[in-house]
Amino acid sequence: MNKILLITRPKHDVTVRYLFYWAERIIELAKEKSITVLDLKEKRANCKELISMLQKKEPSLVFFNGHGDDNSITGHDNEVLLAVGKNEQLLISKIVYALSCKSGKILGHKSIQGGAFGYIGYDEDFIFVVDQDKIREPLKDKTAELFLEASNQVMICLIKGHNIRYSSERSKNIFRENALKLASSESHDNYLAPYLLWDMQHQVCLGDENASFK
Amino acid sequence: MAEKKDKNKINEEIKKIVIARLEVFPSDKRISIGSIGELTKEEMIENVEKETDIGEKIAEVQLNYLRALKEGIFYEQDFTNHETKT
Repeated sequence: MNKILLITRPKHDVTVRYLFYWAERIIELAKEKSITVLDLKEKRANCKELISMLQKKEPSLVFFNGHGDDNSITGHDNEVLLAVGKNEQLLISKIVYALSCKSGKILGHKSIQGGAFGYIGYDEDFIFVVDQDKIREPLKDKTAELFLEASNQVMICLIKGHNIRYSSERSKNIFRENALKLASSESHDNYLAPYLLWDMQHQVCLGDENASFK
Repeated sequence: MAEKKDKNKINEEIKKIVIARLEVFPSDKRISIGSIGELTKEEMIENVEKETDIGEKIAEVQLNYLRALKEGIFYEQDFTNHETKT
């Protein structure tokens, strides 16, 4: 398996802007590990660029950040990047983490049927909470960190060579630990627990559970 | 008819529970759900009251949490304890 990571990072609204910045940590880690990073950020997170990169560079690991639904994942200005019946076969022989809503419901399964080795995503809406005073500085948002740090665990584990099952379960553990910490304390932040638990319960890991990026 | 009344009553009770839980949501926070943007506490409550799709989703999240607590979700085994690789 080659050491190439492709990442899509649109930035056109507040939600994807958060994902954009939190994905920087993954890019830094990948570079530390001498992994080639193909960073389709902002306007480059479009269908044409994605197809071109997937075909020419053949990355083994793909990290989507963006909006989505049961059948698709979107990029800059919500342009559809990948959709069932259109181009899900482009993920053949790849490991995918889709940080987007609902794509684990249908698109993930279709990708596996089309030959993807593994697909981690969410079969429901991915929900997170932000501090309005930190919207301009997403990496300083301690509230969002509870969610996005847990999500990032998927990619951290994959980059370190763990298989997709472990990577997903490690991430779920962080979601649960964060929820438990808040729910069992007198913390004013215990209102966050339902959303952390929701994301944990709706993260899905599809395909060959032993597939890994190494 | 009576069944319908009962059903509505249950829905109203659930709505009250959900709204009571949302009342503790801080005013300086926003929730991000999909591509609809970020919602304030007031917008969340309004959506629940009006039973919009997003309101139903918010209610589902809260009810899911209450069910999970009842089922002891926090006492489940570590997800990764079968894994030996470090």
